[in-house]
Amino acid sequence: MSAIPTVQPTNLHAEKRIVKRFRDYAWGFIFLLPAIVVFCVFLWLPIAKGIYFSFMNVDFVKGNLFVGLAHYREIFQSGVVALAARNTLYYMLLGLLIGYWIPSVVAIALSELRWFQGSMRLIVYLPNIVPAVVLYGMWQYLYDPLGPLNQILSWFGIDKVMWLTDKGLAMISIVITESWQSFGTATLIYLAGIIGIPKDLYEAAEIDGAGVLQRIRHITIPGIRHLYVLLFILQIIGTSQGFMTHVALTGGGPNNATLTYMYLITNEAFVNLNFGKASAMGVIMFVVMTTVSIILYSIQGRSKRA
Amino acid sequence: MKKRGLAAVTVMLALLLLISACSGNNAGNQAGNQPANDSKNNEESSAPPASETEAPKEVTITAQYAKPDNPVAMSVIDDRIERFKALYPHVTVEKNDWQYAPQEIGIKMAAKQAPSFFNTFATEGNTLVGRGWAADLTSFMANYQHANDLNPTLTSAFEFDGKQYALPDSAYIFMVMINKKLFEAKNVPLPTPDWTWDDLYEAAKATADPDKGIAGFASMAKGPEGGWNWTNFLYQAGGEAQKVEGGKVVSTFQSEAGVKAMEFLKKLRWEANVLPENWALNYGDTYNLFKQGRAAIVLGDSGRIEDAVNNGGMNKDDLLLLPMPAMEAGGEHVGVLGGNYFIINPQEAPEVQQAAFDFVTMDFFSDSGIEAVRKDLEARKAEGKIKAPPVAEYFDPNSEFGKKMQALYAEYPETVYVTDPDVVALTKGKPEPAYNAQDYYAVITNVMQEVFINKDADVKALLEQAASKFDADVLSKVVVE
Repeated sequence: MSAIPTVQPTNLHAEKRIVKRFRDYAWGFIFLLPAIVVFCVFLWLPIAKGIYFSFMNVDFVKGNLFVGLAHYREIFQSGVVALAARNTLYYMLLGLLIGYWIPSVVAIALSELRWFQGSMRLIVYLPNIVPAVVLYGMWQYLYDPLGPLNQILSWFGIDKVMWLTDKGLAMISIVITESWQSFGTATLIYLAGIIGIPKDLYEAAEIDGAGVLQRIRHITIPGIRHLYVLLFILQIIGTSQGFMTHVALTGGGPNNATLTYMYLITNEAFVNLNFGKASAMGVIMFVVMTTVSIILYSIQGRSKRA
Repeated sequence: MKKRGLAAVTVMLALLLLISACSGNNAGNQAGNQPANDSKNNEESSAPPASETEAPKEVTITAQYAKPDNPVAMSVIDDRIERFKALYPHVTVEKNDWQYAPQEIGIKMAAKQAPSFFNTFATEGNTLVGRGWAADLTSFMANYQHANDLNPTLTSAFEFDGKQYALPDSAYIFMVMINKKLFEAKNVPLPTPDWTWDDLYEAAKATADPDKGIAGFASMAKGPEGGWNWTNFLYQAGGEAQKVEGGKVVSTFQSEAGVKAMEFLKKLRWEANVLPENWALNYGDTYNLFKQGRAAIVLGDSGRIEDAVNNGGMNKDDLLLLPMPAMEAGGEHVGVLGGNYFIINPQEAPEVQQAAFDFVTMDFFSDSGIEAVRKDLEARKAEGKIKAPPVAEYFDPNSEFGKKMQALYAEYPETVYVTDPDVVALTKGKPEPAYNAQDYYAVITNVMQEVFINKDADVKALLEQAASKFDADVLSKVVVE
């Protein structure tokens, strides 16, 4: 008596479920594939390679040599790295003090304009489209000891200010330059948020006799509160990696006063050709920034739920 | 759900690490820790040449080309490429206008995109040879008829373990470039070639006009080039940047001579107030300031004279080249000796390396080389441009070829800027530091910047601090062979 093969109904159902799931998601996966490939090649693989290189003495010709945690030990014992990290924190703080609040103020002011709002939006965004070479050339001219800023100060009997060669002022000058250049984008994001606030709230407030300041305080600012957190996170991430303006305006000087952590990484990689150590510094930065982002996003999530 | 997400991320990261580890530099790993230069390449390249009946293999070389803003150099290279093609029809020459930069060479080599040959400076010897980024020229030199005619003063910078890793191009010795117009404007007599630090101080003070933004003296002080400038004063004071002691390299720039050199710059900055108010100048800034008539005295060489006239619109009669001032009367007029060299890319196949070697040496010691220079001089004459030959070139100036070149220069008195022979006679060149020169320059620049921002800076303490840190961080890792 031969056994009759029987199909297990549970297995059949499982297979059907998988096929159905595949059919449901197939097109989604196919559409996602290019993005996954691009992210893999240009983002995730470099991150993984950075981690791998951080344990190596990288030599593209003679071959890499495993050095374990040597680069990390060197980084944590280095005085220059500590100085660059301090400078970066100072730069981030200055960015918050000088540049963070401007876009929201400008966006609120723009939203209150009854005429020329479109033109003003364009004007506000213009600094963003100035090519970097022109921008740095312009600010070098503005900051020159004989430049326009010092000329204006001289009208008020104020002595020349050494914007870029004074140890105490150089970083502030850099932050002013960057705030001017990048506040347009943040302004547009705030403005989009303000436009999204229902109009009837404002109409109701006006009927109730609320003035401009009251409208801003009780409707506009609460309405874009989530954007404050988002742009705070973006600013922290952006400024922690700042180095371009420092290269162009001060070269990290005077005497390392504007040397940031990212600037040091690029120096380590492209001047000292020590790609292993530079990768290790990058990994440390990656870990710190990921941690900071997770904390900030969880705070944002909590504030949204509240 | 959270756990599943975390697991997925961990698996992804592990997978990527695995992929990246596996996809590492296979070529490099195979090479392991072999000597800097691929011995296989050299063996192959030194193999006997193919028989005359055998057609040479078609090869393509990438020749270093000039940037579009230098039409004079472009036409010179174009002419050379045409003549090379006629001589070596099996070689295709592609142009590549990448110019050597220390911060880019690593990427070029990693991406295998460096040209077949490139021009670099004397300080790069240890880096390029140590990392295996310069081909060993021994096999090519063995078949080169003028191997022994190259200027020995220049070849030594790229000689390691008795092997030659570069072909010399030209050399410079730092001198001082003066804008005579600014001296005339203030009725200040021009310094004489036997001048001293005190004379420089007085001349700079007399010509400076801070209200008009005119500096009496401008030194680079923004990037590593600041240390490069300062080393001239260190040498004049009789100092050295480093020495080898018990098989280790140690800094010596913090010596008494170093203190004197830095004190002199401090005096120029705070006592004489002759530096530009924005003293943080890089290489380009310094010479732009000079070309704008905003600096009376800068450090330079014949190449900077050429640039000031050809690209800065200055009149060569308004310019004066003097030797470096001596620290004291009767002292030596020492300037940093540097040079430019041709490197053959070791990543190229042996036959490509040979073609690149042939391209570089095509005009060396030949009538075609003389003719090429003549053609260049004619073109410059027609355009009202000048040529200021470097203080030393690949050939010995006293050789037969050297004399031919001098005779050619003499035919173009209006086009060729000849440095005063008295100035040349007084000038003494001293090579740049042999180990980690660019790092050393960067360290010195930081000290300079502190001195320039702090009137009460303790020069001796700053130099000692910089030296001990530099020794610990950098020089202690140098292996002296």
